[in-house]
Amino acid sequence: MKTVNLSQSPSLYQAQRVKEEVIITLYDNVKDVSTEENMQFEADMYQLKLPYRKGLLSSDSYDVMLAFAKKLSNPSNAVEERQARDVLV
Amino acid sequence: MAENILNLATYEQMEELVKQMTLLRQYTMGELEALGVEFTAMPATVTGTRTLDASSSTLRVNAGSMNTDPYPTTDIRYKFPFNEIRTAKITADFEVVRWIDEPDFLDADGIIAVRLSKAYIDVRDIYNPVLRRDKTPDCILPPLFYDYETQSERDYVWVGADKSVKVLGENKLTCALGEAYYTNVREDTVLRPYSEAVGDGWSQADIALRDYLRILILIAGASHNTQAVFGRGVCDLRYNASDVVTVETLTSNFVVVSDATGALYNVNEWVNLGNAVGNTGKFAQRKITLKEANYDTLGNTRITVDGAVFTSSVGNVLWHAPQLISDEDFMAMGNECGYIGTDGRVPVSFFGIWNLWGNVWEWCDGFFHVDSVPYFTYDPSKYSLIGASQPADLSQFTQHSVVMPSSNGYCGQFAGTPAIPSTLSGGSDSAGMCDYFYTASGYRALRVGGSLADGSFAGFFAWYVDSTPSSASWTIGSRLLGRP
Repeated sequence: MKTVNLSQSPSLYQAQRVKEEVIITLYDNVKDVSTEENMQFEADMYQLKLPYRKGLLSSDSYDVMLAFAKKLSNPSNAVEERQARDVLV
Repeated sequence: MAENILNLATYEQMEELVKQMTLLRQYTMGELEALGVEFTAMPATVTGTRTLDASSSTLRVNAGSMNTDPYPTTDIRYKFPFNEIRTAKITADFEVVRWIDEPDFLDADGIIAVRLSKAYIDVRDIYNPVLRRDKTPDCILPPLFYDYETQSERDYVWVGADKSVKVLGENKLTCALGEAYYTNVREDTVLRPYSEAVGDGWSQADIALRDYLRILILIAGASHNTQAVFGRGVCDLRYNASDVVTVETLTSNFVVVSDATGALYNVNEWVNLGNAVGNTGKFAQRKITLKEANYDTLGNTRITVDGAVFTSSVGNVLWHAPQLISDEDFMAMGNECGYIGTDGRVPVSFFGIWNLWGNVWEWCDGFFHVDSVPYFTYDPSKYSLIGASQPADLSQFTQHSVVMPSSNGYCGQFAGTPAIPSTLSGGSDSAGMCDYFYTASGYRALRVGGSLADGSFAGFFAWYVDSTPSSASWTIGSRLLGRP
């Protein structure tokens, strides 16, 4: 997980196909931290890399993917450790 | 000249021509990636040297437990086609439902299968195979990726991640975790048709797949000793009439055996119980949940299993059932190589394809021999001709140029295309192909890999060509192969 600053409010689920893979970017805890001069947002960002399938481009699985990303960010067993290594970007 | 070409060719043809010319230039300049391995002293020295773009590659195997450290960048898993081997749950129409590393993989419906990408191969020298992503003058398309119906190439196939299991209430097979493999049934009337019943493009695993996997295994492992490199597989378990019940038990879920026998079994291993070895009259495919050595003053061990209660009698025989892969181990391994647990007692994964050797034999379709003269076909539409008795019309098949050995023994060498056992000379558990060859005269079909008590006889190169497809045994299962 990275805390990132954004110049606009992000869409929470962004999936981009790169050849035969999909990079999924998930945002959570989006906060408006704009000042009078600048519009700015702060958010927790997770990125996952999975093989491509069409369904992954849909934001329907945002909640499931976010929970998954959070779990992998703090792996508690061999399965999660391996997946964290292979899936988390 | 150029004008003439432009007049004659469609845009698509021109595009293909340019692509081919570019590939040819890259091939000539040595710019196209190729993986190879060379064995210079077979059968005495079973290890080889990886060549071409694999020359500095390494292979890390999980030996007993998962190593979740980052892989070295030299690992061969990052090279094509290994980097594209992926497990998924798929529909019978080859639609991916979930990839293994998606969050709800285990809960999803589908056939668990591993996608193998097309690569082109140079197998002119059996001990110097080369594999490429692109078609070049020196490489051909493996038959596995040729569609005999449409006469076109397919980009990938799906291989059952493990042996097949039966779909409840239906005459078809699938690949699923935690269910007993479908064994003790004939190949010709059950396993083959039930595999084909999955849907269009489905069959049993066959000689085309086995020959392609052989090349992948040799390049990845740089050795013919698959048990030494990737793990022994399930081969050191018990199938012995002396493992008897020593104290009767009534409506309970434990058996009592001698401490000596009890020491041969472990918690989490799968077992059967019957009135003789090979019999499952008391129970089948139960998991040991508790083992209590020195349970009584008579030198006995109490072994508790899961499931319903049963009654056991003195003299009943305990024996190992095929070992099923747990959800945890399957998910932990992903598309890596190796095993989790004690070597020889647990299944081995080759990039997520489990049990390619050991546990239970696997029918290999498309191949048979008549008095050691081998015949084969790569065309799945002809597999049904390989029935209980010798096919009436052998001209439907290709007669192999190599004659197989006519006696049993460790296999010394493979030869020909597809590569098949050619001699026992030079073979042992650590030389030649390192695995055993069983045969018999007459018409016989092929099964591969070995079963759970075969020890060093088992391995990727273990071949058993001494029974007909009408044979049925608890030691023989099958694997699904899907060609989209």
